[in-house]
Amino acid sequence: MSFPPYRLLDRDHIAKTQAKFERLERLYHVGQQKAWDGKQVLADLLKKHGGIRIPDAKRIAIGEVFSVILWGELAAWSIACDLALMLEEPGAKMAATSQAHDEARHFYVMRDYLLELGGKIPPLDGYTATVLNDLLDTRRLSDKLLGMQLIVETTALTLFRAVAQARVEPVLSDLMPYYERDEARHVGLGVLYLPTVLKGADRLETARLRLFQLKLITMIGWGTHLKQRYFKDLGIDHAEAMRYGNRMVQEAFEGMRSSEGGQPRAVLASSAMMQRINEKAMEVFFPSQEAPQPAWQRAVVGFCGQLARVGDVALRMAA
Amino acid sequence: MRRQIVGSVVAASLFSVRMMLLAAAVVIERLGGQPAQKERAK
Ligand SMILES: [Fe+2]
Ligand SMILES: [Fe+2]
Repeated sequence: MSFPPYRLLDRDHIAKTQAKFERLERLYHVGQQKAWDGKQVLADLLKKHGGIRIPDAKRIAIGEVFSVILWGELAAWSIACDLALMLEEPGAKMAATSQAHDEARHFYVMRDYLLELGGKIPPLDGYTATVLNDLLDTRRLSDKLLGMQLIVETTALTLFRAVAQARVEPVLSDLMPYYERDEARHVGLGVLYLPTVLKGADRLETARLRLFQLKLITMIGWGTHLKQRYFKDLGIDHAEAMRYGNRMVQEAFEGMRSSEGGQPRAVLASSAMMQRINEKAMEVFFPSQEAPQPAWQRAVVGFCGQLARVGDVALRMAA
Repeated sequence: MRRQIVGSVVAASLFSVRMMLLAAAVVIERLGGQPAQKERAK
């Protein structure tokens, strides 16, 4: 493709595409309006709560869970920059550029928070490392958009919500709504633009994309098993969080269905049967921590935890 | 590349294990085990 794309200045072209991409452009403007001063917000919260004062067990658990978030934010930053380069439509390019700005803030605020928290922040687990490297390495726009905006962002949103609700640590929990608001816009970019990107996908590409999503979801699920102990230490209820995450993914699908072109076939859609299997799986593998579980289920969950550690070692060795 | 291949193999294996466990769980429940999650008291 040759530069410059003169059609971007063409009145007819603008008139034709403006309505379609208006909502994408809005994400950029809203992002500008709602941009928050990370240094100020963190300093104020630290002052308000008198610093970070928590028992060691919680400190370790926060480090375990939020090292995932820290590196996730860095990856999201780079991937948003990739998207800003790859996207041609100005509205979509603006939304991605705005996202890059947000993710830069998310990264430095989380880094500063973790430095303030102190203690040793563990390296990234094999599952998350695989997911993030896959998304960083791929040169396909569809993979990045689908994997990052729809799967990783909704997972992050779920975690942020859970951490805020569980009042894990006052500074961190008060920080989460700021993150949540931004991430919701990032999901919006995926919801609004994916139908356009995936419109031309043939059957082979559709199958490939579905398999790719299945891989990401599997990795995230087992990564959750790996960190189970720490979620428990933080007082986060798996079952509740999973239900919330699932609802959010459904909402994203709804949004795509109502947007022009409808829900793309390449998106791992939840048919009624898939949805039932999914719910059953959540019930079995991520049971509510409040309700008592039968012995066989405790064994299954324990086995998954052990297997998760084996997989983690294998993935780290391959890195 | 190696990471990609190992990643796919691990993902496929873990996915299969999960499906088998899920099937087993459904069978156990059907055979009269307790439900996976007790209904909340009304
Ligand atoms: Fe972020
Ligand atoms: Fe984000």
